[in-house]
Amino acid sequence: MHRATRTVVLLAALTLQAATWNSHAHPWLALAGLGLVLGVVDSFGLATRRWPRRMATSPALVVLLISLWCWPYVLEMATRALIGWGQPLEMQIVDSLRNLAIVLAAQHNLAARRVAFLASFFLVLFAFLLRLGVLTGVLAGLYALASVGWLIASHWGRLQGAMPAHTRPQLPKLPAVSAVAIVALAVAASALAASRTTAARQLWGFFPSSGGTRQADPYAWSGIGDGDQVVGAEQEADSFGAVETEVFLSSHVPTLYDLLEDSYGKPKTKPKANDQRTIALAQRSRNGPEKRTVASATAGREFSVVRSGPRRQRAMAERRERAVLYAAGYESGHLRLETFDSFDGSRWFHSGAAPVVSPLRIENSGQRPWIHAGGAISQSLVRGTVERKLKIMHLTTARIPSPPQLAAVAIDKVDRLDMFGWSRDGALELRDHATIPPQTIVNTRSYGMNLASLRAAGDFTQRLPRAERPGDEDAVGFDSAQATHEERIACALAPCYALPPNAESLRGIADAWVAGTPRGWQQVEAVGARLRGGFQHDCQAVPAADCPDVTAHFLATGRGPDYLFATTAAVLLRSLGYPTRLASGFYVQPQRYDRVAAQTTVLPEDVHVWAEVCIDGDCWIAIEPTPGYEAPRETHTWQEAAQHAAATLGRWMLRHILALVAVGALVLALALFRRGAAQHLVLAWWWLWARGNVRQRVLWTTWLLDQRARLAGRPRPAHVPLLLWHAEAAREVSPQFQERTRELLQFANRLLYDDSTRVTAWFDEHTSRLCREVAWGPRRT
Amino acid sequence: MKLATPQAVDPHEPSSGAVCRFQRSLDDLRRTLNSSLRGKDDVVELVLACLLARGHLLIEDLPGLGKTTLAKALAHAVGGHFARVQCTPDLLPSDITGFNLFNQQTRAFEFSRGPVFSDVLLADEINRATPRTQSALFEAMAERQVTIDGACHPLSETFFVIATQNPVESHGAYPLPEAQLDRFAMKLSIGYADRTSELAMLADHVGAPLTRDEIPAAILSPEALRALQQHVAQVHVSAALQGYLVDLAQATRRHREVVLGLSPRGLLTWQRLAQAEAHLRGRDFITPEDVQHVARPVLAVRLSGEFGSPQSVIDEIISEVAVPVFSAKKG
Repeated sequence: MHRATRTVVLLAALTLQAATWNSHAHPWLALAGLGLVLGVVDSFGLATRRWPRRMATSPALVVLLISLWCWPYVLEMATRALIGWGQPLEMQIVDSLRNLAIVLAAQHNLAARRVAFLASFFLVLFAFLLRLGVLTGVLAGLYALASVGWLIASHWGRLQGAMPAHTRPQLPKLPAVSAVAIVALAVAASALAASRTTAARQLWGFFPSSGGTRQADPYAWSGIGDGDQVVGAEQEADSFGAVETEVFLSSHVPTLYDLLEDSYGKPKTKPKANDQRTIALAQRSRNGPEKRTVASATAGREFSVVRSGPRRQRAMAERRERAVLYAAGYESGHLRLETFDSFDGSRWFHSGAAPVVSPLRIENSGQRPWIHAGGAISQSLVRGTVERKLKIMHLTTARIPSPPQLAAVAIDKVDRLDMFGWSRDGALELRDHATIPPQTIVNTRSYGMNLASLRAAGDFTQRLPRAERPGDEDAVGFDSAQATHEERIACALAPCYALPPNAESLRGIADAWVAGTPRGWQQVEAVGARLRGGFQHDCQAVPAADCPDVTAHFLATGRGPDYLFATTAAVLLRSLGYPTRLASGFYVQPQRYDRVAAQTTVLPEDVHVWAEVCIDGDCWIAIEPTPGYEAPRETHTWQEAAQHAAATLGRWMLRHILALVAVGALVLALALFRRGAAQHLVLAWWWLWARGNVRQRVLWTTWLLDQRARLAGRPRPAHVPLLLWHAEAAREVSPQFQERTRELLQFANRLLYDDSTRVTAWFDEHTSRLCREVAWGPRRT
Repeated sequence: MKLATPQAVDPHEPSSGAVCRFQRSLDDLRRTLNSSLRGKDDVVELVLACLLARGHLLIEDLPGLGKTTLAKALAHAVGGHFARVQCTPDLLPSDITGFNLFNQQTRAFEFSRGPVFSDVLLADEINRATPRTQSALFEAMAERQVTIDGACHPLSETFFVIATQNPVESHGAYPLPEAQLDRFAMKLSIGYADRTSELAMLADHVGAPLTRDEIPAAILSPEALRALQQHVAQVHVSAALQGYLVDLAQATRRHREVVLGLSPRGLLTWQRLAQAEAHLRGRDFITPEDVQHVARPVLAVRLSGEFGSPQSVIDEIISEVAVPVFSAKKG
């Protein structure tokens, strides 16, 4: 019965973990963590099972249960504070319930085991509501079988005698076998007919109620036909196709700039006195900003780093209603929409230099036409491709939100190459469309990058073509049709080296930050790491409107919004000679992952600004200098991952060598002197609890004798009485100790088995003395 | 695992005032029996326990080990009327219970009491009597009365049967049925004495007179024995130990090799014997040691099944049930 209850509860815990599996970035790490948690909690449960029954109802067990109940909440606070990772409140509550169920499953008490069983049922039910997958289903099936066994075991006394001696099957064999064979053939045929979709999805579409018969059913959930609900496609993102007819017309759909203003505040304007000074300037200077405004308007406007700060938070609204877009899966990441290559000290804008982009081409693969947009990237950096689905909801833009190193894009069956094009700042967009239609599914394919070779390559800037006159405003009218590829690169990168006015002093800061770091990508990472580690992300810490140097202001205050982090990183890297630009778009937050829908919601407040460094002409690598945001993940082979893990572990060990040596010495000492240490622990526990009335003292002392016997390798068998076992063992210490032990155990027998024992003062004092002598006796012999 | 070796009576163990009233008698009784059966202190203790528990004793052993000697010594020590029946195949039930005899002079039937109307009945080689004769003892042993021709005749309240049987002989023997075995409190096997005891025995008989042995004086009168038995029945049995006994009984019924487990009558007998054992050790409450000490003789007479040695089965049963240590609660 005990084993049955523990099995049922552990299966329920595993089912719950399987349901939350895909919500973790490292599922194997999550599984290891679960194994550790279950092992620790189960050990507590087994330890309490070995407690004497009287102690099992003592405050010690209550304290333990409360501790295990509170543990998930304490752990949540620690993980949020230390590593910025957390879980929703309902998951914490479920973890608490899981811990309680495991401990209760190990108890003697039948009522406790029943409560544990009920709790396990709730855990499995919660797992089903969370997510139903293959693994969850298998584990739930095992749980169901184990539950049946548990129910039989718990009611065996009533079932015994009522079970039939034997059974005779009445189901005719031929029809049963035929039915099973038909179903199996149908499943196999579906599996064979399936190409990229699973057999389950094929079968799902065959059900008429799901729209698979191309009949519009208002109650259908999904299907492969044209059901009305298909347009909603709330359950299966890839069941939706590009809708040619306009379905939604909404004036409330924000643009990217609406979102930027909502998140960062409106750009601050300088006082009018500056306008008067502007008038006095030369014609050339006066036209500069206007010209740049025109250029940025055609290229994508501008981004001011001097802003009023974010608005007050609006009232809580349904997240789905506010979603800008959905991203399938759990992975975090950047989605670029715009880039800016010129910075005048307070505003970022695009210079108008023609971007270096590769010609688009179309290629059919996987029943979908892919628009290949990726340029040539060094194969030493590429580790396969990563696909991601995006569903545009409420965003007015024709630009396609692009993950870093975009390789290809596909929108269902759209195979018209002329529908796609490049914007002036190098972003892929829909031509002749003001916006991507809402609820469009955009499939993106990007290169998985591994920068190990880039780090080892040294100074990559030496391979980059440089313009003779960087920052030349005439580059706006550069004739890219006649230029070579290198000239185009040089022209496109020219603005990316330019420093804003009064930024030369930042070179000293940059040099100090990268001191000792070899030139190349490692210096880029050093600057980013310094910003992430030494500065604080504060959306409210915006510079004043008349701030002469926002970068210096940021470096002085040590805090600011993400665009200041990105601006500072870009300016510092430019001072070191690395071509850097600013990028804006969205950041997919893993905390917004919706387990039920298996997608991450991107909200308006997820607008984000970061920096990008050019390494190879048209290859821009995103860097993330803002704390709280993850840098784009590198893709590793398993060998690289193992090497990286080993190197990281080695560095960590070196940094904490003293602590490790101390811990290792302690562990070694405990291993060598474990028996003695355990004896002392047991004695300390006895000293702590052997208080109260004489009965408790005597019982705890007998418990101490049992523990000593176990530690000495001679545990008392359960069927052997105390006196017989311990009196014999005590003889090995000394005859006097044996005599004391016998006397104590005779008193113990009287307390245990003679209800009419009258505890006199003499009995109390004498027994207490015996308890102390027996407890401390062996140490003094 | 073998059963733990029983501890000798602890002279330092505190005893209640009420025990001391009978302690001297018990010591004398013990001494008398030990003098009759040398080197068998543990057997003597069990015999005393059986006596105090108002149980009947079955001694099964090889010839010449002192079964009859022990029985006679016990019978004389407790006083009262002693009767002996040598069981043979031609023994009739009326030879045990008695019969109605027609008196020619009074022209009425007079009941002639049989040996069963004694205080101590020694039934020697009981397995040689026919089952019909054996069954004559059923009512007497269980209810301490006999019914003859419809008339119920009560027996002595301290009626005590000591039966002996030889395990070797199989020809002309009638094994006791389980129903009758269950009426015995315990089955003992005396075994051979050790070398020292046998040497002492030989030395005692050198130059011993050839006249009939003197009948030793009774140590306990039947009334005193009755009071002692009543006193022993008052020994406290805690609820935890009652649960322990029940668990052991259930374990006997669950054992894979046991066909017939412990009956409720056997369970009651076991409790009484544990009480007697505790009293002999000078306590007024029983402990798990007492229960385990009397387990072998109690179960040996009752368990039946397809097993070779009952001792190993009994040891297995004992080892399956944990003693109540920390679950014992104050009543």
